[in-house]
Amino acid sequence: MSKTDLTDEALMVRAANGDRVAFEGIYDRYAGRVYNYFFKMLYQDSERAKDQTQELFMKLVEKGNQYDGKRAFKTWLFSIANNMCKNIYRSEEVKKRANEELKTVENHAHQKTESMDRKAFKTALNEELEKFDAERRSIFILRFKHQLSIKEIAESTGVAEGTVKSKLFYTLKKLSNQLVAFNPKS
Amino acid sequence: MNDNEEKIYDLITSKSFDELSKGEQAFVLDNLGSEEAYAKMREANLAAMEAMTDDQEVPADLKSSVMEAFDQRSQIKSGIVWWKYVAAVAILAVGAFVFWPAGNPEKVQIAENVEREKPSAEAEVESGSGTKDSDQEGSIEKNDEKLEVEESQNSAQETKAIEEEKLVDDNVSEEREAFSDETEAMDDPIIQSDFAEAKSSDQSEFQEENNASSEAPAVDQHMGMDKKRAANTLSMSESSMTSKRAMSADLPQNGGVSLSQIGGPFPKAYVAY
Repeated sequence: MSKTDLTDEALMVRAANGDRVAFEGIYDRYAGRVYNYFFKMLYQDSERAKDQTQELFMKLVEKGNQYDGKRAFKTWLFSIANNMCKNIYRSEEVKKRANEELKTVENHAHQKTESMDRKAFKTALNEELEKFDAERRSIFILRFKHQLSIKEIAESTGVAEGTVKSKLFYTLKKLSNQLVAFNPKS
Repeated sequence: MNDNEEKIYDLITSKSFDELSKGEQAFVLDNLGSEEAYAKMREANLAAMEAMTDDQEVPADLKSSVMEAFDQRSQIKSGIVWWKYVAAVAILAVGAFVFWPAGNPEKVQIAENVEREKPSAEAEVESGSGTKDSDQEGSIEKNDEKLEVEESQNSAQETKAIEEEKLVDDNVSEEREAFSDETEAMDDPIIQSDFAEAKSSDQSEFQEENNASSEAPAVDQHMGMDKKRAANTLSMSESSMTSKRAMSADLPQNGGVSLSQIGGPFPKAYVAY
């Protein structure tokens, strides 16, 4: 049986036992998703996203024996990534607050100068995302970037399914009000 | 409100306003205020989906560095495992050296003794309290019988010793009387002259008798035997008295049997129980 035939869970169990091929299979399946998750979560900083992705895969090697094969690998992986981001946010809370004012000024400049196209909407959306708290941002990215189900998001973030839906509702409402100047469909 | 948000979110992600039922439309209007607000939220949802689809390329060197790190960790882990095996073997070797039976015969002896003693003690413990009591009563009765037999034996020996002592005393008193009669008769001059004659004749006879000396040691032997017997009877009576004293010391004042005597082979716990 080749590594492509195995489920994520089976590959992870093998990787935890030191199977290099299985670990490589896990990397090939999830490196892009994890890297993009960190990229979105960490202010679109590619270097930090790279470092965090590497660290996450090292955690898989170190804590692989803690993995419960019955649990969905994807949600377990994103829960680790989510916790890593939470820790980063905690340590950078002060720095973030200091930069908040400057970003608000820049946003106004964007609104005035850039055309209302998709690119502008993406930029504005990413900037809005950075204003969210860690939990809301993580839920948003997992939902819209990685298309995780509400249940999977709840498992990954450790939040109840109802709360996930509620947070998504408020995020959409806020975005629809703040991004009213843009016409994403144009 | 939380339930309403959840419901509206489900509706936004699945249906346009026109696709909603009348009841759902009324529900949305109650919570969002207008059809336009619902449409904006739906647009924002779709736009976010589209906007987030852009993927960043994973840096090419990331894979090699991750796999290199994996290899290093694996080597460390395997190294730790190897050392664990070495340590386990070393511990086993030391354990075998210390606890191996041939290496320490004293320990084996102790182990055997424990094994021998254990079953009897366990059997006593395992047998219920009722059987324990009956066993103790039986042993008390046996000890009583033993003591009675010993006492009767001792009293018989005592009476024998007393009788023998009396016989010895009678012999001694008879000899003393005979000797005192002889000393009184020695004062008379006629008797003294007769005694002198008789002495001279006796001396000559004594010399003759000396030649046939086989009789004299026999007499001495007889006398020695008597003395020895007397000494034996004395020592026996003393020993019986001391054993009696010892027994009476062990016995409690009320005439019962002391538990320490009966429970000799039993641990204290059983006696107390």
